[in-house]
Amino acid sequence: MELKRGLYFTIDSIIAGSIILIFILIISSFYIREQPSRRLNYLSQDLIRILGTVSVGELDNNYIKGLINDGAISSLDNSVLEQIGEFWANNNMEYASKTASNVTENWISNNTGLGIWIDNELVYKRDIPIKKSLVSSKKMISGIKKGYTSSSPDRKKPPTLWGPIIVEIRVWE
Amino acid sequence: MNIKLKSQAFFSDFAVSTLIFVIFIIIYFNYTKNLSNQGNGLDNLLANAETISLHLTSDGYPSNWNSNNVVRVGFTDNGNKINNQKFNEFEKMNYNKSKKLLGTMYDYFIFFLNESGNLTNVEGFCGAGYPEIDVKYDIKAAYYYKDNNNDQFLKSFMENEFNSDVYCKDDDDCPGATLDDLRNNINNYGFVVLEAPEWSVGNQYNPFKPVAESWVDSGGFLMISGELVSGQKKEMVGAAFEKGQGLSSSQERATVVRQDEFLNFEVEQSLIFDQGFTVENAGQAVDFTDIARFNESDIDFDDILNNKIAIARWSYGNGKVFFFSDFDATYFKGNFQENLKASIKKWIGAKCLPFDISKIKRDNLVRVDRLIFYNSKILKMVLYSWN
Repeated sequence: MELKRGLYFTIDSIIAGSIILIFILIISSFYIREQPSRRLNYLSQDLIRILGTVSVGELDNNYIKGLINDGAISSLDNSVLEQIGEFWANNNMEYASKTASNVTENWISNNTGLGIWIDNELVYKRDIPIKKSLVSSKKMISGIKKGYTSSSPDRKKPPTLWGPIIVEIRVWE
Repeated sequence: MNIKLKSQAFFSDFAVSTLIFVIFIIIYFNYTKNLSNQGNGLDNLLANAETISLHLTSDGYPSNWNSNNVVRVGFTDNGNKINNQKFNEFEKMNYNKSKKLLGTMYDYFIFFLNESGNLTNVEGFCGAGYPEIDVKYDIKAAYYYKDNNNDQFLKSFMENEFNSDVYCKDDDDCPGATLDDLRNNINNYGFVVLEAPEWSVGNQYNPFKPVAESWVDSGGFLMISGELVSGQKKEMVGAAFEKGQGLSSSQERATVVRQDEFLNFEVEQSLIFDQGFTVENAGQAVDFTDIARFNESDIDFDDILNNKIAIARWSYGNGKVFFFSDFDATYFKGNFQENLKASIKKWIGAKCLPFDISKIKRDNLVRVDRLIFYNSKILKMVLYSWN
């Protein structure tokens, strides 16, 4: 009669070792920390810094030039954010949204969302779902209401102001 | 005979399997250790790249820094706007010195992309940093000089920076690349430099003039120095060129009379040209801008403002022309040749060709993107850093 013995084969140990290794790798993958998206930090900060200081008169943008030629933009010294704020204050949301869209769209990749809120009211949103993270930068702006300033404003005839209000740029991916 | 059926394990099998298992564990821990080390290296590199980008997009220290007093490099002003003067100082800076001032031990290179994602020339430069990255301009250029016994100050610059074709008067010095060849090929070029051509009127000036004017009119960039043609007051591309009376000295003093956006000379600073040749608007030059004028016998700045012109630029049709009395010159407040070369890159505003970073020896490479504002446009500044 042939002896039947339980044997410890090398191949078994390799398979067993592989299973344990795979198991450890899977477990350790749960502990991998995802890098915070610093790219978004810089994007939102740079946008609010540039749009908050560059005037509509000095920015080479065809849409804004068109608005200047049409008379929709009267003060060339307004920063781009102030101009968007002025459109918002005058309830001209279409101009506000299109201006925001035109000056930002070339700098936002396809997988990045962007929104501009003024006084918590959405002005423009490039809507993609938030999957990873969202970063926000804010700036306080104010301005003179359109048509509410005299040629020589003084204490008796002060210009009507809008703001100060908070403009917020959020970017996400 | 009673046989007991028992499971059995041999010692050798057990030893082999334990060994294999231990090998697996060692491999795993080595792998995770390397992963961790690599992560730390990348983190450091990325943090370093971000610090460089933060420095560069600051105004630097002191706020009006120059190469002599710089403590921290930064070339933007409030609102991420590039300060042209600081950017030029940064560009001229030795790479190792810039690394030291930026506080990085890693190599770096920055360049700029426009809204279409194409490389963009900022202040005449396609990029800055690691000197072995060779960025070329997307413009075809030609350089003409009289012969090997005469001035050729810009020859090597034109060849190195623009991969320029070189022409001269005689077939002996430039086989197959004489003035006739340049005349036939000129429409292939976007930028042509004529250094001290000293053409004769009949054989050279007369046949070249209409071709050059047509080429500049259609958008070419022409730079002329020295004596264009031996005859007095010969016109070409909207201006008249001559060896002015009273400019016979071999060392002609001149004074900068206008701050120019391309040529970084300070007003009222002195220049000395080896040869004094002059130009004036013949009527068809548009936006004729005088930049330096000869002192002649005058001392007061106001008197010099009416003297003969030593440096000028103007538009002709869709093209542009720059004239220098001589490329062989001395600028009292700096290096004439360096200023000249920087102004050329800036003036022609050539597009930049894509560059190849694949040949850089590196373990890790990181990229940081920042937005900056330059010349009415928002640009993306891309910083690569590697170890």
